[in-house]
Amino acid sequence: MEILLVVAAIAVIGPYFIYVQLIQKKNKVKEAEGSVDVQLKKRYDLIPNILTIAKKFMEHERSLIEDITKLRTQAAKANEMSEKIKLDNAIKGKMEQLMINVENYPQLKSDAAMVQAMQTYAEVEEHIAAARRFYNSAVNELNNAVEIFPSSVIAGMLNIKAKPFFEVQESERRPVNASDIL
Amino acid sequence: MDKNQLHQKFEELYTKKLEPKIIPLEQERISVAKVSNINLLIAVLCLIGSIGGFLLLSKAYILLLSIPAVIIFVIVSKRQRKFRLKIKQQLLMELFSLFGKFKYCPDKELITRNEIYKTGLFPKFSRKRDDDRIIGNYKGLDIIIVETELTHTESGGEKNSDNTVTDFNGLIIKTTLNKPYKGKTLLYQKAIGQKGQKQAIKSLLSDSLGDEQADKIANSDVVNAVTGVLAFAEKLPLKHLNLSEDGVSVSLNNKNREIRVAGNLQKVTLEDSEFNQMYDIYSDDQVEARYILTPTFMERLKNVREVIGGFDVHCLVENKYITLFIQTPNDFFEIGNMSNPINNKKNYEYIFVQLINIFNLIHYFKFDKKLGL
Repeated sequence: MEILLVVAAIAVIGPYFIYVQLIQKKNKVKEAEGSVDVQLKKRYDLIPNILTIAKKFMEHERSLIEDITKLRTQAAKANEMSEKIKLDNAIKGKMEQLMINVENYPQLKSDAAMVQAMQTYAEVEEHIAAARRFYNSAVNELNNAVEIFPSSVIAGMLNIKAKPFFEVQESERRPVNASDIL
Repeated sequence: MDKNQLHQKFEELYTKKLEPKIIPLEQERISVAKVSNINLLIAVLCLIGSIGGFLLLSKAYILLLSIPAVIIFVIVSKRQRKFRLKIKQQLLMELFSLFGKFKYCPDKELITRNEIYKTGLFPKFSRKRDDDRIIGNYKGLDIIIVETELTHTESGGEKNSDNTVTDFNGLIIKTTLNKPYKGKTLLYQKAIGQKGQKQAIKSLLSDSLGDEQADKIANSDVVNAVTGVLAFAEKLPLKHLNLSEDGVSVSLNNKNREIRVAGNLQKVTLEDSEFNQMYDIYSDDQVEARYILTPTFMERLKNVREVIGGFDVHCLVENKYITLFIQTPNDFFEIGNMSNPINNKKNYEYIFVQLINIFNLIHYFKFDKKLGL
């Protein structure tokens, strides 16, 4: 009788424990998504300021500026994380292109407002990278739980699904050239 | 700058700036030491006289002769302390002046007990003894360097006697952070692994034996075997085994190494599993913690012992400051004292190397540059 009670207790407590872990991991991913959103919003708020300054000097880059504006509008409306990641990678690529092109405009490059904006942008980028690492870490924990037995069974019952990682763009994978930063 | 250039730089500094100051100070030391020795002899004679008088003549001799003895002892020790401070302020600061503007502050607690207690790294310490306190500016960075020892008393053992336990002994270096950071992130070194142990041994020995010899010893079979065992013992569940005269016991919370983390700090698990094995990380913000602990920073902290000799290296990042707690058996900045000559050139060269290692640490972490690393 006692053995039956112990087995019954384990049968109830075990799944409950897995359930709690799954919900905690799911909520951590939500928290991480929130952090990514906050940091991305900082970037999207900063972009119009940079573009306003850039427009004054970069007449030949009008199409690039328009592309960034369009992507920013789309990104601000995006709801799904996968969509946000895709749009963010696109914006990041275009912004990097813009920053490189700034080099061709010495007047703009030395403009105090532009220098300040670029510094702030670099800081925001670092925060986005940090938020992305937090998100990926949370997603990794959740995905492990969702895919590995026995928690995968309970995750299936609760309809908790694996989440996409915030992948880095190919350009970011390139080795850093020391002379660029020193 | 390579070793030869550094040696040349030191020779120049020693001949031009230190030697002219050392000669008169050494003469002063000899004369002060003579007077102190005579005073100490008188004090000892007074003590012997008081005991003899007490046993053979009257109790009054205890008061009559021991009070002057105590007064003489106090005067001598004060004079010794004054001289020690004088040589530190004049000679040690001359060495520091090579790197920036620094000040020796014997009377000001630059890193307070409360500040250390609040970190949660050493929750048990009840006594703090600062050996050296230095404040200054290096390449625009505000720096505080304190050599300190934190201890507490524990009663136990067969005779229930009190034992002094050292919680920390080494250097605390506090400097400005190269990033705008708001919050608190704490890194507690829980293990350093075999590679870390070997790096620490090499760094500790290279100051006195040179790089080549230190490297040979650090990679010897004996060191390999010892560090291998130590690294293995750091891993669970072996680190909970305590070996003592009474035999083997198991301690589940590893009391001597426990930390007390503030309630608002959460555990942070980073993507580098090797780093996670070496450090317990706590922060009030998961994103801000990762903003500071970039992969580059983690890599540098893992290999910090290549730059400075030390075992556990704990780290606190709070607001715009970073504080490193470097546990090391080395005694820093010791020029000499009243009873030992202060004109030993090797001592100054040794301190010069110690300073290079400390400032190299600032370069190593790139605290002096805003690279975003």
